[in-house]
Amino acid sequence: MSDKKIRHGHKSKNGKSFIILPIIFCLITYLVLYLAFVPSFSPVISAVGMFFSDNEKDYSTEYDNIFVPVSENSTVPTVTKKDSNGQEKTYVKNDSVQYPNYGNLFGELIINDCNVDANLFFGDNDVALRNGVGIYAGSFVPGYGGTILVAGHNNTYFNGLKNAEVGQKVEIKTSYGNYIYEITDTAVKKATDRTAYDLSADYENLIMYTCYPFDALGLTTQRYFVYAKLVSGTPIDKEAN
Amino acid sequence: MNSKVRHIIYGIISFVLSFVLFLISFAIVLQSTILNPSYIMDNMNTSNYFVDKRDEIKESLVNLGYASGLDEKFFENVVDEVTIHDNTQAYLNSFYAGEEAKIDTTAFKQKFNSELDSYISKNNLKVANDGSREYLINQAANIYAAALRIPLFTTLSAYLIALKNMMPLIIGGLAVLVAILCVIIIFTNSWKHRAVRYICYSTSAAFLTVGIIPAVLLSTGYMSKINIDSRAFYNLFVQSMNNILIALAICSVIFFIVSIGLFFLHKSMRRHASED
Repeated sequence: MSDKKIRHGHKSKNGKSFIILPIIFCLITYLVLYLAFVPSFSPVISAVGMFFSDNEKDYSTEYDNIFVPVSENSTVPTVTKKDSNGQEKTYVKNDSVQYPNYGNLFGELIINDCNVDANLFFGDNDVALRNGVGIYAGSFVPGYGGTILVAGHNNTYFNGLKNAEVGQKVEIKTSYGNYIYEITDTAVKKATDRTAYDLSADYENLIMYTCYPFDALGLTTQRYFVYAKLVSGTPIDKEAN
Repeated sequence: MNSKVRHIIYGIISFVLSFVLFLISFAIVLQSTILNPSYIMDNMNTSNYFVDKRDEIKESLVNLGYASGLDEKFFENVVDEVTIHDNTQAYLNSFYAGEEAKIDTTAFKQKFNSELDSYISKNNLKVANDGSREYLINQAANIYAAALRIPLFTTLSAYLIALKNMMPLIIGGLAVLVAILCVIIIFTNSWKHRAVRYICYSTSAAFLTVGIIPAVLLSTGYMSKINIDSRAFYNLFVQSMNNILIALAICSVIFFIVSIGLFFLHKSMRRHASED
């Protein structure tokens, strides 16, 4: 190497520094940024992560239909157990029940006397109420032994509730069995009246409600409630959960 | 000066220059995108935002209609893209002007009211009670206004406005800093090809630092995995963010071209220096 070249600092002839130094600078830059923002980095990353998912969002307004009607002659897997009174009772096997997810169509609600025949959804969101009636997700599915709170629009699927009378039969069909209820009462109550239903009841009961008055234009502040008791239907063996 | 010490000092200056170039790239991209009032409107126009938004509002209003006795057909003409466009433009303009950004629902309410009048008389309907009609109109107007509001805009408004006001100063300051650092490197090196080499390190580092973010995010399609309920906002967000990433990628490419130019300039100047 000549003296001139040494003076010019040309010890490295292959130009490695043109690659290595920029990479080092790049790493240091991100290290500096990380260290500068380290106190707020983790919460920011966690917060940003909440807005993102593994897959692209599905914007379809379709719903999943898991309803396969049970015909009269078909047998749903059952198990016989003694109840609290020591009497033998038949239950639907818990593992044969496909519990619905929120928004699933999983049954059908029929009141022949009122001309009501609607798809039954789990959840009472807009898609459900547009295509049928929906069980409030904080209540129970038929056969589970609790309160089934069903909502529907008064101008569409639950318009027929205006003809509801005590003694009429309500049928709910699901993939794990068919349930018959009998109307015991009807009432008009305020939309904000929380005493209109008891979600903690330890017996199976059906409550259907819709806006009141019927066929009126505008958002109303009253609700029309129809109460029914279970007449027949095999309960789910929920103790196997 | 010892050559090792000199090398370290200029290495540090080159790093600082690369860091400032990185910052100025982000500042320029921010200034020309998010902080530019016409940027969001342009993206709204190209991402079909107004048509998507009209459909979404109509969908929500139809659900309200089901609960209040209005037929789906009633909502065919209640909302249109032109009104949505005008209200959104006014909302964005007032936001970027630092004023209280509100969606003006006056035109929507008037249209809804007149459509309701003709619907009631045409179908010979009864109104539930005195307050129901007003309540319904207000609910519809609330749905309309909520649909047009841009998520997080109100929360971030104070920061964005402050940033928007400061950004020209920040960019100016960073540009001056870049000039000062370049002057230091050029005028303190007796051999100018060395100065070119150090600046080349900086621009190459800026190419990597600025380019790595868009390269990762664009190649993985990360932005398209955001969860936003509204399809219109989703398309707007993905397009706006991708455009920002593309702008950063362009900055990165500019740094790359400058680096290549500086590299050959350095080679040429060194050759000349060796020959002298």
